[in-house]
Amino acid sequence: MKKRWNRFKTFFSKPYNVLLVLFLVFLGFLVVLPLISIVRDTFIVHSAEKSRVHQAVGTFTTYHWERLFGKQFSKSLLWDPLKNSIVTSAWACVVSILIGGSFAWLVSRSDMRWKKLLTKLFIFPYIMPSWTLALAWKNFFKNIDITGSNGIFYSLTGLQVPTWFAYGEFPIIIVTGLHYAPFAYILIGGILHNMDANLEEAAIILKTSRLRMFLRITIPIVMPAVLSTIILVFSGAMASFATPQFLGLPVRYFVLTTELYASINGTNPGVGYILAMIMILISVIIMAVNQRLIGSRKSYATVTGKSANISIFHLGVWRTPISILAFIVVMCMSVIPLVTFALESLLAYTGVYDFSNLTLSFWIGQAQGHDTWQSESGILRNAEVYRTLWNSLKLAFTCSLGAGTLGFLAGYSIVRRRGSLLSRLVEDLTFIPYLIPSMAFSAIYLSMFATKHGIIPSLYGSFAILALIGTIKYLPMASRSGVNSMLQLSPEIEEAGIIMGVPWVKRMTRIIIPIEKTTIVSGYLLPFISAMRELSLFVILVTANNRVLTTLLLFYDEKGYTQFSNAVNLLIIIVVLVINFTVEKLTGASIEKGVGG
Amino acid sequence: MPTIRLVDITKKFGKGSLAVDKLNMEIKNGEFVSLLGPSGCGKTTTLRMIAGLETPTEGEIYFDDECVFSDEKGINLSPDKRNVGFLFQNYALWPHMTVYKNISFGLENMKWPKDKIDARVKEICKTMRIEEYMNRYPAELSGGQQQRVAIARTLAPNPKVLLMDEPLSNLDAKLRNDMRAELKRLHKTTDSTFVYVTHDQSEAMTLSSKVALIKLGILQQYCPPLELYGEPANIFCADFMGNPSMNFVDVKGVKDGDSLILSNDHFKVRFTPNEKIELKDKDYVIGIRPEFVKICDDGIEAKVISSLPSGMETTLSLGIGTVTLAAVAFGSVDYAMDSTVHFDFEGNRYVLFDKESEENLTLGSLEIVE
Amino acid sequence: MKKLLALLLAVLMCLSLAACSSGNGGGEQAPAETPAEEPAPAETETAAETFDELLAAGIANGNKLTIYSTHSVTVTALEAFMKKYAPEIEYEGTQIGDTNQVTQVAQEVKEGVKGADIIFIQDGARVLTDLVDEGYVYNWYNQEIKDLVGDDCEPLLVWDYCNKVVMYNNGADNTYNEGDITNLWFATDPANKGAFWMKDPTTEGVNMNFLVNLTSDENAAKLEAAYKEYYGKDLVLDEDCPNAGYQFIKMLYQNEMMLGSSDSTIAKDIAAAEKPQSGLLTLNKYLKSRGTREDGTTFNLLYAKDELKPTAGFIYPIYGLQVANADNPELAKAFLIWLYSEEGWYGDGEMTIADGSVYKGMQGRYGDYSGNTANPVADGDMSVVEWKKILVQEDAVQAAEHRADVEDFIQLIK
Repeated sequence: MKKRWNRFKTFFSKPYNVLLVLFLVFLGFLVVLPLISIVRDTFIVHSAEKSRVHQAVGTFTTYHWERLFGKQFSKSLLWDPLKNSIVTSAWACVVSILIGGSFAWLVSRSDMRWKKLLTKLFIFPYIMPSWTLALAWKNFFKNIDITGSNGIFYSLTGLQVPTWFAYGEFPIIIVTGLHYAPFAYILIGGILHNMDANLEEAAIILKTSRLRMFLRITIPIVMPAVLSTIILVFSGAMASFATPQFLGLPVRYFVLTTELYASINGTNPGVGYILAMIMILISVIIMAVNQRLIGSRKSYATVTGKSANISIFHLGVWRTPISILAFIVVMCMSVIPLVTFALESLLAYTGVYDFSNLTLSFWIGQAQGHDTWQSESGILRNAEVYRTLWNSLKLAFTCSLGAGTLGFLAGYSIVRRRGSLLSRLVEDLTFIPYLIPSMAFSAIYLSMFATKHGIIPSLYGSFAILALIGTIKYLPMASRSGVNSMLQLSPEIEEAGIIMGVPWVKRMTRIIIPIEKTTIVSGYLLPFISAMRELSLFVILVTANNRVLTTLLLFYDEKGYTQFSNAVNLLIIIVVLVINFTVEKLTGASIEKGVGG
Repeated sequence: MPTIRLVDITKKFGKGSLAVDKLNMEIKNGEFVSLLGPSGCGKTTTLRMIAGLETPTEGEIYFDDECVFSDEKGINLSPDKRNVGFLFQNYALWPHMTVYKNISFGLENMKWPKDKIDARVKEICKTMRIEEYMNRYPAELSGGQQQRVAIARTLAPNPKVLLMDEPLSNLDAKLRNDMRAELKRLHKTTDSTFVYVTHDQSEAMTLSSKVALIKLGILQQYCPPLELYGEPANIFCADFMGNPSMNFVDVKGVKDGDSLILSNDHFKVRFTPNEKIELKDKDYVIGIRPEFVKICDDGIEAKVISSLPSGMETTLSLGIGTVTLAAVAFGSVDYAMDSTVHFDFEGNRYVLFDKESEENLTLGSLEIVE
Repeated sequence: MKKLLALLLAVLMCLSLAACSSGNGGGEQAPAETPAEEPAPAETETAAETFDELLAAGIANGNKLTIYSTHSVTVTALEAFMKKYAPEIEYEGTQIGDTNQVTQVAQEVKEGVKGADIIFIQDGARVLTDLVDEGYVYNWYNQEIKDLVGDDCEPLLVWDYCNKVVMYNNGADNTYNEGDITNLWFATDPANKGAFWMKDPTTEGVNMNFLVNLTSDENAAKLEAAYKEYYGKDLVLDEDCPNAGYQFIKMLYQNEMMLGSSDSTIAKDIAAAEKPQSGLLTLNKYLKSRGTREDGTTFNLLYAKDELKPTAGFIYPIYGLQVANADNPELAKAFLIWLYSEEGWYGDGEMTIADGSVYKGMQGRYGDYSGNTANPVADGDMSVVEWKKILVQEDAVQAAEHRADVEDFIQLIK
């Protein structure tokens, strides 16, 4: 008995054990319970379903399962969207890896020009809300053949793109691919940067041609990074909602998320929950396959240890053409979208790209009454905009504080107890929120926290529920960067403190945090930016009283206030970019560090 | 069989920092040349410039009469055209290929026929004693085994010039000694030119036929290792070579015929140069190798500060007032701490340095005056 | 990661157990409580209180007045009303779309969270099933309202009628002139492939209700007759189509109907288009979408009237309903009564809203018609009575009953 008590005491005398146990309880409640709740929701009648199931709300039913997998509906509800999701996500992976990977190679291994500027611009699409590129695509390529009014592209060139180019599978693939290209760049670039240049030099000395070297040495070595990029891009693309909604809806091209949205907001949420479960299951399978595939070869980059100086590939006569090409691609991805938003927000009449048609009214003008083309005050003098901006900032700040801190502590305790069951369990738990589609996640939180549970009051419509879900949803990013940063720090550094009797809090605040400062700040930055640009996670939890900028944008878009929605979009991007670069300047932290670790 | 010639090679990194400054040297065919110096002296850069992995800022490099680099003529032959082998410090084995594949990869590039490749890989593996690991991945090998694979990979195409960048620095002491012997044997059997970068003076001493000692990008001395040891060009060279290192004693010199009377607060000695040179009254530094401080029954009295017996010899630290001298006593002897001993000088391998320029003035003999 | 899989499996297992047990529990209760009967909304009793009494009681109550509305004018109307009649009482008016409003109100009332006192909402089908049946909101009117609104007090009180009619442009070579589109089946004509728009019915409830209403026996019969007129032959139903309504929906979707996310964007786009485009859009967007460019060219938009057979579109109500857990129900009711007055509908030219400008209400608006038919319509627009004659009227009860069938049907053909 005494022995057991002592063991217990020893166990809990270690701060990281305490943390791990706390995380287990905390995540069990906020992550596992929702999973259970999803499963439960697939078996009960929801209020919107009364007229189809003809049973009382809350009763047990297998209706949803039968409907989804039954002969009649399974094709249109499940298999078609599933096929579309897989096709678009897979091709989006290809696009993002081709673009992000070649850019990473050009930046880290070649003498391409304007590297500094281009790398800054290249990550824009990742910082921007995911739908911005979709909106830009629409702004740019719509034409009278398809949507009535003309887009910028038509106005410039007089060329009309076919429908398949403007809407549906193709643009979804391209736009999603471009959105994740910076992600691929950061991950693959990280490996290329850390990859020992000697590996390539050894090949050159042995008379390997450049192409053969690239194919046989460089590519296989960056393969693990490519695989992990594929996993992350694929999961991200599968879960993305806004892009397929904007670009797929007009031509009735549905993917799992848009089908999920239609179900949950329509008259059969139960089916939506099953779809959510299927999406989680797919992600888990992909993760498992990935682990299998990479297995022992996971750590190529570190096999050889010391990374020597990197030899630069001279592009020779191709230097300028390639640099210009890269410049053009980056402009198309990062700058032109912003220009289109600015332009669209300045048009008195949409679709008329003419100097005389430009007005600042939607930014600074006064409301002119309900019936005019300007029924609201310009966004810079609109109290509602400021209120939602403030709310967005507050929310993003809270989420980043929550996710960043928890992520860092999780990273710390996971790494310190690496190899133990408890640590692995917590590590997996922190990752689960990444796999749950935002839309389903928020639907669950809605049903979980709408009701009073013991000491937890009903959080419905409160700021707290937004903050809570944001914190949990972004925890995977923050804990990933936490784990990475702690892995780089040798335990001796903390042990030196332990031997000198420095208490834990002081060890953290005086030793570990100062050393890992930039990585930790990066761990805060990513959730902040993600929360600022988040739509699908908040859209059904936000009530009219705590609107955030993104839902305001959606509101304007649904109302058809094109200029306002473009202006708000630009506002979001500017705020995010300004904050990102300010933090980067002040602390040296950056998105790249947050993602790449 | 090429002779490598570097002419006024300069390498600048970025704007200000000068890694190699107007380096001139000739590496003759079949030599084993070590590039030696403290870390950051430019030795690795020099090696990489010879290989073509690094582009010099100025100067010319010749392999025999063929110019492989010249900034003036705008020639820069790529590494694969220079016919060199390169052994990397961290081995640079390709982690995704087996040992066999690592070795055969280069041969495939050279379009060797398949059976010849197979024969050569097996042969070289046998030589390097790694036959049983041919189907393993590098991550499954120990450091020493990886090293052998790296060597095998480099040697497989029979390069005429083998460039090695601190290849032994990642090995433990015992393995390092074994590999040294192996390298020396390889040099003999392969009959190629070896250029070897190291910061370990004993490695350079034991292996090379010639040593180039570099400090801050400037070549200090380029000669056979024993010459470098016995007749160092300056205090830096003298200090860098040998372990325990040379004793440097600050002295005042007064001319006395063909010799100098050198004195400090504690003793006075007569220095007689081996060759006649012009002598002046001024400050000098006298360099005394520990093995030339001879413990005997009379002579200068000194106190034993420390005694470190290693079996074959004992390294002593002797205090004469404020002057400390390292000495080596051969045989298995030990001395009590703080005991008093006497020492004398013998032979003519004492080095006289100019105090100001630190240059080697001459070698000569020492005789106790007082 | 294997752990994760195992974990997930374990969770699933627990779950199915839990689900089963709770299922049994539910199963036992179900027959007792919920014989899934068709909800026939009970007649609401006409309330006795008058506007003046309610206003006084509301002011005495003193609590904040909160409204949710799908219509932006209600929000400004609230500002004008409060400024004039109850300046000392706090208020908040928020515009929320119908789908979100249904979810939000249901949650708020269920959990006892303070939300709206009164809501203005469209999509009668979901309002009936999700809100009224569950007792979250209720229908209320007094004699004053009854006198003005008449039959439209039941089953849900209509505050405002909106109509969505077929709108179209001239097309590049004046393909269409006013009155040229005479048969709704034109939208299914391959000539108009991919050129007919509407807001996605799965997110725009009233559009879905319209499609559901088209499948009623009466409307299906009309459609069938119109088909013969348009194509000159009898309609042959596909196997999966029970009647002409379904057949129409199927052909509409299969003719690559374009789905938008906003009526006003679609309207503007159609107006600006050079090729023939058309859509089923709220008439309210008609005036806003027309305009003259700087270079003198116009955005032209036409809308169908009685020449379009069997219907030019549909007309649907926005209901004014009381929320069960209102804090200031008296004031909410007073506000509702006031909205039917001419002052409530158009303003009196003097009352101002929060930003100081004059409250104009529905002045000059096409496509909004007061539940009080005595309130005149905007110049150039037709009265609600006339519109009702040529449009399908939203039948919330029929829609509630058959919505799932039609949604499933669309799910299969889209």
